[in-house]
Amino acid sequence: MKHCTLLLLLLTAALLTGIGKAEAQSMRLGIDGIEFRSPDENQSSVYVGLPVWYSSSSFNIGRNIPTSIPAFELGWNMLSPVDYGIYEGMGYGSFLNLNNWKSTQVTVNLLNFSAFNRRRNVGISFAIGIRANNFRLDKSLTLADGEQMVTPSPIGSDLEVKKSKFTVAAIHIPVEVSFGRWDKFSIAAGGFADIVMNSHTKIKYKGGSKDKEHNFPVNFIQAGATLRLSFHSFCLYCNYTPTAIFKSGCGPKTQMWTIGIGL
Amino acid sequence: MRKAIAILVLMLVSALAAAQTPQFMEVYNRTLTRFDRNADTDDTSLRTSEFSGRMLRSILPDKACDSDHLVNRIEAIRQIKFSGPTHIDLYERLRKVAESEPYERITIMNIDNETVYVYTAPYKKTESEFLIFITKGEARLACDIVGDITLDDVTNLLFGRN
Repeated sequence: MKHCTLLLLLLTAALLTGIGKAEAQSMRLGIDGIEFRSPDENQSSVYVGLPVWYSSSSFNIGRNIPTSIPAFELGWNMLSPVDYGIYEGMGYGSFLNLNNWKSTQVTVNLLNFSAFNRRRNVGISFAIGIRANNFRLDKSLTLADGEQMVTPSPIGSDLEVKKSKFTVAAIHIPVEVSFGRWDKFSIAAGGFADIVMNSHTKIKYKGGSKDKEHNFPVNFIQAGATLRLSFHSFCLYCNYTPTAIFKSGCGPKTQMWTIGIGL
Repeated sequence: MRKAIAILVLMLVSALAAAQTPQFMEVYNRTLTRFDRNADTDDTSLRTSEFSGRMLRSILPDKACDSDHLVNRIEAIRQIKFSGPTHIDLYERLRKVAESEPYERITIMNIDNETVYVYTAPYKKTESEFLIFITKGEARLACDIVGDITLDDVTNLLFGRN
């Protein structure tokens, strides 16, 4: 009896498997084209197709869109020869000597806009982001907002100074025209305008305490030019900012160069 | 210049080698040219696929055992899928091709909310070409099947009865 039941079960299973396989292989023509039912995956369809990619819309807004402007940029700031003309006779010396490796430019582009041609090898990209330019000063001094003039101020604290820096934070609006595929290799050139929101000095002492002074007489809009070489999602960029950091007559006259990378 | 000649030769060769009518192949090749121009972008508003009877038999080996089955009688399938209105010009061009000689309209019907247009044209002495358009909302499909096939085969294909 047991053997009969086992045989019956085996026969039923074989029959069901056979039916399943016979029904599994089929073709149907629908809105997605010819669909094939795979013999192993009865429920899922196998689409055979060569995808044709084509640009339906060349204008994009948002994040992670085709653009020559990366989401994150890190650069190193250098000042062109500083003009201390307004300090003549005051004996301050060259107080804006930066430690270039630690004078960084950090940019985060939060929202991108771009328009490319249909072949996507020529395009224009815009972005809105935030940018902070850090200028690492000599440990022995900081900047002070004197009477309508930025002056160097020796740090007279008994605590050991870890770092002294001057930072300008701004809303960053870049515009670039790119040539070449943004996701392969492209060259982009353009400009940017940084709307300064805040400027401050920061002295950090060993032990964790710090001093800050805000609102220096910096130029409200700092504009410049950018040249960028992009390789896939990595880029090298060079910025030239001819706008002086400080308002005319309020601080040393200088322009800024930045070389950096973008991701 | 070299590239242009290569593309021209490729188009000519594919038109001569194709089982489909030259009218269909002209539009199909235009589609492929757009593909070539935009192969690396991430837009899927236009897709094509094409496969031979041999490929079909490789995909469906169980069906290929039956010598009378459709997969053994199909010579080639070429299809273009349009998503959205961007390439409507190509779709309209194909519809215009289908409405003129040598095509003949067989039916317009509705299957599962999909509107289906079926056109046929003679191919060789005894075989046929079926040009099928399916539309659903903004999605459009043009599928061209060539071989020793009948309207019954096309109907079975549309209803998934094979």
